[in-house]
Amino acid sequence: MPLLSRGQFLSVLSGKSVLADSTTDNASQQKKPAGGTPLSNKGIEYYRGTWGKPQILHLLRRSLFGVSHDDYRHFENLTLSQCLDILLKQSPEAPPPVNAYNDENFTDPEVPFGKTWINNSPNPGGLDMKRTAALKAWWTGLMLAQDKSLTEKMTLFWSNYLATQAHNVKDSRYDYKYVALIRSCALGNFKNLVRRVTTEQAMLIHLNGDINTVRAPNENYGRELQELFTVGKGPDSHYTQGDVEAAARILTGWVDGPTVKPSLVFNPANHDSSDKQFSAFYNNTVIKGRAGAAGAEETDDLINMLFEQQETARFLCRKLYRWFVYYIIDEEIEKNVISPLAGILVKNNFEVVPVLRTLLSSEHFFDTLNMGCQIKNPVDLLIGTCRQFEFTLPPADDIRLQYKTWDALVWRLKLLGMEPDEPLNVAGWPGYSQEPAYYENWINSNTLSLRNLTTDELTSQKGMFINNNAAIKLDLLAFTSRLSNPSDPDQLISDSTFLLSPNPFDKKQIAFLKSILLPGQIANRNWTELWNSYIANKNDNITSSAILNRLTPYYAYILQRPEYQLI
Amino acid sequence: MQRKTFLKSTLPIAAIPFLRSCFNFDFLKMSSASANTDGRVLVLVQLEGGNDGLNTVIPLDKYAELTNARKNILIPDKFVLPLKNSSVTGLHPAMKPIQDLFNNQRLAIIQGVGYANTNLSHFRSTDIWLTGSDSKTIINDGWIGRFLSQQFPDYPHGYPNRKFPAPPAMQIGSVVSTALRGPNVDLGMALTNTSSFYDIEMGTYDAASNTPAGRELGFMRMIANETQQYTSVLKSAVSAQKNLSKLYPPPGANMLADQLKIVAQLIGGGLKTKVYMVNLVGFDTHGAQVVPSNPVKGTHSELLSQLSIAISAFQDDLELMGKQDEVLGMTFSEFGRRIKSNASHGTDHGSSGPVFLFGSQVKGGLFGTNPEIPANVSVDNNLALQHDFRSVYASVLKGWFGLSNTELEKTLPGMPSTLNLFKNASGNV
Repeated sequence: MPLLSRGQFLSVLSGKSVLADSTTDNASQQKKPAGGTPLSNKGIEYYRGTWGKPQILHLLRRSLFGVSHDDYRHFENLTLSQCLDILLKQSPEAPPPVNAYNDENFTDPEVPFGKTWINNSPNPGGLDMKRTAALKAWWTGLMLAQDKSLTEKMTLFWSNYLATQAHNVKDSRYDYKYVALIRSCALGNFKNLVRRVTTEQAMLIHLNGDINTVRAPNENYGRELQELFTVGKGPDSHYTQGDVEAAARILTGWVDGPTVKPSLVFNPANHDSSDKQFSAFYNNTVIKGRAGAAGAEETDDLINMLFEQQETARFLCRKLYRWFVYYIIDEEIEKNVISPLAGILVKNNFEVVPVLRTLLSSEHFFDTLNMGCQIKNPVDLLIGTCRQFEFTLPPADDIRLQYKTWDALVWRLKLLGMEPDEPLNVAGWPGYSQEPAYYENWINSNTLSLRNLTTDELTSQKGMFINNNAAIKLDLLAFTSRLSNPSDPDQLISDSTFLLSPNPFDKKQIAFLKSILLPGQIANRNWTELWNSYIANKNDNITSSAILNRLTPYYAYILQRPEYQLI
Repeated sequence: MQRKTFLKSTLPIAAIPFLRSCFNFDFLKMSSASANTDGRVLVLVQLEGGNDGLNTVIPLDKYAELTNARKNILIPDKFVLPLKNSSVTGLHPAMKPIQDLFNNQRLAIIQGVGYANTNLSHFRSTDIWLTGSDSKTIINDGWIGRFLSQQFPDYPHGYPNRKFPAPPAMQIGSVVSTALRGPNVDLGMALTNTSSFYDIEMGTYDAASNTPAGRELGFMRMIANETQQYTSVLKSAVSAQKNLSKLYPPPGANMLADQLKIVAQLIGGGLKTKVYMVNLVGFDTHGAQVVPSNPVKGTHSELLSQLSIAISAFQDDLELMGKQDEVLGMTFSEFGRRIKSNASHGTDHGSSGPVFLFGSQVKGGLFGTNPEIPANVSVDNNLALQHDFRSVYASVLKGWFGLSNTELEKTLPGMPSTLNLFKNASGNV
């Protein structure tokens, strides 16, 4: 059978509508882009169906980066509501990133080794690049050490949604402030967060708010605030070019060029104090122009006006849906899920927790049609794999090794297409924004190979390279030991594949996995004897090496499967 | 971290990286190795489970002892296939095609191959054979991997390139053997054994279900199919050469023949891969090794028949393609089986056994002698070691691939002694 091109394949798989819809992005939510793929028609009623291992794993896979044995055991005897009580608890503030970059070739002239740099003066160039790298490493470390909380996954969500790019901001202190802000508001208030991000230095620099003045208006942020952060570009969003210009004029005055940095002020001299008229879409609202320091209040009025639009709540709910459920939203889902969630968001004054609680406890979320259909983003894949396999965190007292480890992970995330604090563009990462393929944008022949390389490297006995003295190693023996009965190869295979993939492996794959554990069609008892002698004497290198020589290709094979790319 | 450091330290276990589109290198690698391995291919045939050497290569001068030790599985001597120029050694009756290869000077039988203090665990003993360690040492990389990592310096960084357009080694199957694992990286690529074999992944799956999960699974399988780095070079080899031998059984009838057929086609099509690994499973014959009423038949007979048919068809194919002088084949198994049979018409794990080398350049004949069989055999008695398996490996590396002593020392430390196994002593055709 000849290989199909990707386009042909999509046509065969889902009918032509998927491809056709790519040209009509504004209307896509209202069409049925799923082609022949059936989608859930369930709503947001509280889920009353079977509550067992598949459901718990589904919830955890979507809420955390990977599900370790510990994660599962922590939740296995809880009700859905109890699980959500834990998951929806905001993680505490983390100690800031520090100087772990001093070495024989480089010394930070201001900040000693082990101390934070977040309050120091701006340092463009080489030093700031080191600090920015430290910030990305630090953030990766937070994800790697995540609590049993949605905090980290929602922080990444906001970074994708209210995107800034460190390489564009070029100021590590501002990048830190931005990340700290979205993390502290991860499970907070949507409206409050948009208001704060609007005048956050990183965003002002990223979308040119800092050069938006009465004399030289810059429409960039005024547009993206509407198109990407609030009312969006859904079918019922009809803001006009005039609205973009009016918003831009309101936002004038926030930064007065480089001399004012780093203390952000509102500079009335740069503010356009005339009245701003909005279109019929905004009910012809006029925001009263104000002179002097009061000019800053216009920004609050603008945010209030944007959040009075129903579309703003719907837009966020669609984003959350694509982050936690699936990317195809048809008319039914818009009606059964998005609209009611938007209602809950408005009713709760834009607090996100009630929306997340409703979505993640809904009949819709636990519909089997919505299980195992998310393509892992690179963080899910890399950080999730480390967490899942009992990866030992670097010791907290070895700051240098900690940062080296996190650096190594940042580098892989970059190769895989999701470097922290570097969304691809203003709309975030294509996996969550690029119609019509969404998640499928994560995967091409290059990134799929790199994903395989990455998991191969992690499962290998040498581990993932950090430096000549250190590697990130998965503890395959520990992971396997915690399965229900690893001495029985059939049980080992069924337990491990169940835990590692929401989609069942077919008979041929199971048979193949067995041939890795038991080559040459030798009988089960050979494995049982080997495993038992390992348990009897865990210090016997010959036995543990014989086991690892099977477990390594065994897990490498599982982790390479397309099944493993899904949660 | 520098890019090069990352690549060098990246360790793919099974998938060959598709780095070409990511890092666009295409320059000639200068190999520091002195060996000229051009036009030299090795095909390793792994007999998994532990082959019963005593019922494979049969000592005709030991029938009294054999009758005492393993009467319930012994092949009556009248059925044993004689070997040219040997009155005391014969082959299992299922091995007629191998007998022909032997008699036509295309097969060497090396007797009593193994290692001291045989470990009777399948797992450990397989690791020993694949890594080339002794029974006490743990080595993490494979003997072929160490050999090829010297021929393909820095691999996979900068590969494929004009000089080395093909994978260094290829495993027919989905997981790369430990034998092909180099010090830093796998030197092998896995090629799934399917009838249309470059239809690599899709053909091996059940169809994806009509659900969102099935939709995404299907999408990724399609991409996985496109992801094989060497797809084009494999396809061009396949389109350049058809299998020519009429001796292959129909697809699905003989797992080893199906694999060797692919190997022959790739070699015939000009693929410059140095080492191929194929396998035949099921040699762990604890029970029902033979049919009780007719010891000539049974599981072991079936396996030896498949082995013989597959090898002779492969050899025939290569000769019809004119490639016979470029290819050396070698069989091995993790251990032999016990001298004394058990009550269930089978044999338990034992020690050394015979290794076959085949090919037109092999100096045919018997190397070593028939094993000694104790007159009063106990359940613990095992066959004596005649040739350390690393000596056989060293003979192949030196005699076939022309490795220098320095290269050999890096591949098999301790300089095992070598046998002269090839028609032209220098290894040059």
